[in-house]
Amino acid sequence: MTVLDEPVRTTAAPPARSKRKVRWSAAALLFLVAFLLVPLLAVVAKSFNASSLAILTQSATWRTVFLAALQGCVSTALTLLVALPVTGVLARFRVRGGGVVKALVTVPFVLPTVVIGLAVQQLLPVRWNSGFGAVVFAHVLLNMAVVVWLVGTLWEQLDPRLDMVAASLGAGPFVRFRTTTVPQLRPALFAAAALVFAYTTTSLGVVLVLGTTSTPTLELDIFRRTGILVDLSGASVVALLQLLLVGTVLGGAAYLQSRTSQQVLRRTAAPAKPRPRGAQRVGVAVVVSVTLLIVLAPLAALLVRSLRDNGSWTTSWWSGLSSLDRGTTRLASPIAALSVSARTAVLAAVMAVSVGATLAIGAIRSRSGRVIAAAGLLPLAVSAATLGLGTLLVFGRPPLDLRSTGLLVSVAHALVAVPVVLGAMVPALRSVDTRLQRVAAGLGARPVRAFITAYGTVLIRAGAAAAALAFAISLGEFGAASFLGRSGTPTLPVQIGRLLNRPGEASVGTAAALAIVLAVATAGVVLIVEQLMRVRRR
Amino acid sequence: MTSGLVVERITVGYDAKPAVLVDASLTVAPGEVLALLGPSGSGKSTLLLAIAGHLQPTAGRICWDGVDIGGVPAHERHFGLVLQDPLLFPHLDVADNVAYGLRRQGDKKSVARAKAADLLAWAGLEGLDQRDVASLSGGQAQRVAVVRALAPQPRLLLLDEPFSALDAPLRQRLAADVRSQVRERGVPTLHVTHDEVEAASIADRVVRLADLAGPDV
Repeated sequence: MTVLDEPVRTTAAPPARSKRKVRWSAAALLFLVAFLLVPLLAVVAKSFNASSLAILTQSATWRTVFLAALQGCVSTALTLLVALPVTGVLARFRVRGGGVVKALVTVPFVLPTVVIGLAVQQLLPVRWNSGFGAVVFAHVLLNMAVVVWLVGTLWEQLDPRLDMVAASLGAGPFVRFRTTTVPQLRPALFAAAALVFAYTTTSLGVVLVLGTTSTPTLELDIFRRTGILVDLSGASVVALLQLLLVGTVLGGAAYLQSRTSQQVLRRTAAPAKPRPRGAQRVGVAVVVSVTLLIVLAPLAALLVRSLRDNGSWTTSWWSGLSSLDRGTTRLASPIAALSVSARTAVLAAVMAVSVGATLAIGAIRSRSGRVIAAAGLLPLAVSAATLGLGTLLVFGRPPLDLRSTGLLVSVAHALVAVPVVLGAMVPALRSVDTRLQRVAAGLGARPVRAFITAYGTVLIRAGAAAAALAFAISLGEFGAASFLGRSGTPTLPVQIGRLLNRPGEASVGTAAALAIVLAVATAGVVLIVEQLMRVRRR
Repeated sequence: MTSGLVVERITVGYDAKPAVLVDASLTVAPGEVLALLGPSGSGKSTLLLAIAGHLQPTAGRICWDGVDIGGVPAHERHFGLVLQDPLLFPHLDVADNVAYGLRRQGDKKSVARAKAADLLAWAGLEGLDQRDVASLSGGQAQRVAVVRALAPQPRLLLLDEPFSALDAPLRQRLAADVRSQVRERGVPTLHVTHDEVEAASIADRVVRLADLAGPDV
């Protein structure tokens, strides 16, 4: 029989809430406080003063806020528009190569933003390869994965029979989508839209490569004030402004999400997804090919760039990869950089999933769940530049010098990944019938055992997906890694960034080649995890 | 020309697997309540989904009043569908659930809700209009599902074991209710079940799935 998602907050206390769980959540929150809040406070304390508040009265500041918000809204709307068709196709149908499509769509999200900027720049004709349109295109490319993963996870769980019933009542395909599918997807749509908005309004790498005066972001302003003008007090004011703006949007989305998350009819058994038939085959083929074109064209342009030298074909950028560090101490070999990246990413994934899963469990089970969930989203609102600077101030020098351990980059990456982990795990955990735990307890299971019985499978499945995403995010993160990494052992994205900063044809060609290596590595990870999860599902 | 539903020797299968339903024929005359008996897993639901337009037969014809409706999409067939679970729209209240089909026929929201309230009262469910569907009992939810299916005045009602998730006394009461409801509205009904007693109590005529093979019943 069908089990309706039970209301998360009932008037009666949720079952078997123990003090231990609250303590676990507290430990996870402590991680956020130590590595997010303390550095943030350090930045503020160091530089915040009354005179810097004058920034708030300058019209240029508000122009930036307005343009960043406008760009964020357009980017978010277009991302949803472009990503929803493929999300639906993959969620509803058994498509041959569907896992590959999902992995490919994920690749841009986890690539360094400067690389995406570079790829879009290489793809578009010169007339359009910078400015508002180019930035929005890059943002759509980057963030499609957010929609495919967050919305797709929920979409796959919707009971397909509801669609049949709606059809029997006279609703055509589009009306069914509007009146039954969209309302049920609302919590995931809110979450995805809020995340994309947060990512695009605080964009740095893309704007650095493709931006003009029409596409400023507060993040760029912070970056300039911190790195170039050394105006730390100004940077801190702008950082707080950004925190407020993004925090408001995320908080609003979390509120809407908590209000709508009970209105979903989930499938209980998991009958095999149907293969598309008849006209559906055409629709699926069109959606998948258009999506692949959008994703692959920039990557192809990048690949071409890595093989071109002043109008002729060459393999020298590729063959030069192994001897990259010749003549400079700043560049390690790509193999070394890849292993640094992988090590960093494994650590980051472990930390992000430990913290994220604990927060997710706390969010659905404790009375202060909404607060815990909101806390987990906080890292989104804090820019990489602010976070990196603050972390250096607190943990980068004696008595607490963690920088030399190389751990700080992993910690920062874990923080960046926690919101995504939450986004993947909270909806999945909410889908568990809470009565299962009571049943298990009734059969004599101890609290922990009963919890594992009820939530174990979902925890492992959602946890694996979240770990893969966290790993991939860490592989491609650029901002925090360039702030916190040790100069002798850069991660792959940092190395790409350094190359792009050096003038010359060779640098761009080599950067393009390295970006391809990173893209293949990331796609591989995502694909492997997709396969693992599919085996587990059987 | 035969009026009502005529299923002519259809074969239905999923993907590449062997067909679940082979060469089945069936007729539902106007105003008739037909019960289709068969053990679980025998292809009853498959037949129902093919008639509703959600599965494409690989062979045979499905006709309504003598016209082949094989190419007509599910939402244009005007066949009501009630499955094992109520499958109420979770984001709509009870009245909006019942009003859903009326809205698709062009009724304004307020008109559709008023009609829905009348229908609910007619079915003995007065006062439930504004209830959240999650707060209904299993029996109430399934009754709402039947009313929702009847609301847009379907040409045919398809019931797939609609009471199997309920306990026995409730099942009998609901079967009696539905029987009188479809009679009163004169809706031809195809009721699929594995319960012989239920089949006999609700239907004018009972056929067994095993007897469907071949030209006609």
